[in-house]
Amino acid sequence: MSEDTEKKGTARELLNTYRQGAYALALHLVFDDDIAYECTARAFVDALSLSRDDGEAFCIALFGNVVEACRESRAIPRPEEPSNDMAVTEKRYQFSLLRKALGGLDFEARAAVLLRDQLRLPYRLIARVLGTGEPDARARTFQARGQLREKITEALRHG
Amino acid sequence: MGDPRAFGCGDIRASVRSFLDDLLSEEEYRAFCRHLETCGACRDYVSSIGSLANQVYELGQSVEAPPDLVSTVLFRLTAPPRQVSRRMTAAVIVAAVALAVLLLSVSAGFIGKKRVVPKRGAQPAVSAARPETVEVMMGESFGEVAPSVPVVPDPAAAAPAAAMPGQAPTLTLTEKPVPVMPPKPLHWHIAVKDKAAEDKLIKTFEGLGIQPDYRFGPLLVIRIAAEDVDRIRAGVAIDSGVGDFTPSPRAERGIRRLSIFFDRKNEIAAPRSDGSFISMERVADACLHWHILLVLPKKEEVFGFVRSAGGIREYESEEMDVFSLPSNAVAPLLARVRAMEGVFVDADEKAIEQLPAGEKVKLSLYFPEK
Repeated sequence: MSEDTEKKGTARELLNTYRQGAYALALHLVFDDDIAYECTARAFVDALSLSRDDGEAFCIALFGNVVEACRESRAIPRPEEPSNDMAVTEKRYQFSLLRKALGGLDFEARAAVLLRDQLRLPYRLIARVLGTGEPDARARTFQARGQLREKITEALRHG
Repeated sequence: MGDPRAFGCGDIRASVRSFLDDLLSEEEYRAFCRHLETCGACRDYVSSIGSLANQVYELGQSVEAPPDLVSTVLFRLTAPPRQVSRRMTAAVIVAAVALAVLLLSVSAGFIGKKRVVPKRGAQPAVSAARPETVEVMMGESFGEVAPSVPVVPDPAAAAPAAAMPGQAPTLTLTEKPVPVMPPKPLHWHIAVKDKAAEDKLIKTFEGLGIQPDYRFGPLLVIRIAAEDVDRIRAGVAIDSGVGDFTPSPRAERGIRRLSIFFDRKNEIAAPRSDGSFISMERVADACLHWHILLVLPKKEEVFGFVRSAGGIREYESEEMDVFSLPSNAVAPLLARVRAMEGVFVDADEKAIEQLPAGEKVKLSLYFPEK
């Protein structure tokens, strides 16, 4: 097997391992399929150009690049409004509420809660991705969760 | 939340998350439980919802990454850097470098933002041995990859980046990612026969202010705004042979793809070997649907194993053939193809594995001219 093929194989493995998480993170940071797609692709290209070892360094680079690219996109989150249609399943309704609430958070809070709760990264890595200290990452996540809960309650009251 | 002593169904809905995350007061908690004891509908409702953290996790799991994300990234990793000369002359490079060095020498800060790279200490062994790299964002987009320029920056400016002892830090100038993308861009896959066609194409799109996204061999991908499609269709830029877009799952999400092939006369069409032309719709269809793309050095080497793998030829051009083959024939086929030299394979193998056996998969074969 040539070196190129091997490299491509490694890259594909990493892509298959992380694409879902990275894309979901981007999508819930920007709430736009196209921008999320582009940000994820860029994040992968940059991360894979630096390292193809599946370890913490790759994780930090990848998710850090996703967050950075989404931040730079300055996309205004516009999640769809929760539907009152009875045909919508409870789960879908819950997701749409959650998306709306996430969209109402500021970018940094959204990033913190997604990294922790959606990707289930340890605080140590979240701190590295966000370029902050671990206690700060914990505090941000905690505050973000609180804000998220408030937004959901608010949406439920007004819905 | 209302009177905690008497929770109604609406209160349950409003406070279910606080309940699950153990954030209710003792009184509210009791009222919540009392209501659940008497209301089966609310019991079902509460049990259907996990904690907030779990909901966020499930939300992430409910998202499917686009299947072509892998191929896009692999394309970009494999594609040669675009020619910087088209967008950035040597003089501009020198000026940009001079400006960057000047600014570094007078300021302890950096120009723009530092990109996220793996932090020191967590670097894998290979990259840990490399000299420290500081990336500085340029104010303009100068193409995909700007040249790497080693300089010795001001030590104060480089701090606190701890370079490897005895190694001079390297300053790398990179393009700034385009911050805002058009809301509904389109992907155009464009295959060109020769350099002349490519130059014409590039010039045409440059005239419209459109930059190619990336390139691999004969394939160009360009993201363009919908209004540009109309301009192109109107014949402002190129022949009006651009076919209609074919509906697809991605098209429903607002993304469309169109492949344009240029024959030797630089006409926008995909010629058959018998001289007739394939409708652009069909060519677009090949790339709109999920497919495997192989770029192969020689046509002759390919047909044998495609036929033996049960492929059905759908149509062909001088440059590309499209086959349908059953999904269970794909893995052995790819194993054979990978043994060949100079073959580029673009396939979402994981997705292929998950397909029911016998489901038809499209296989596009490109034969770039050497």
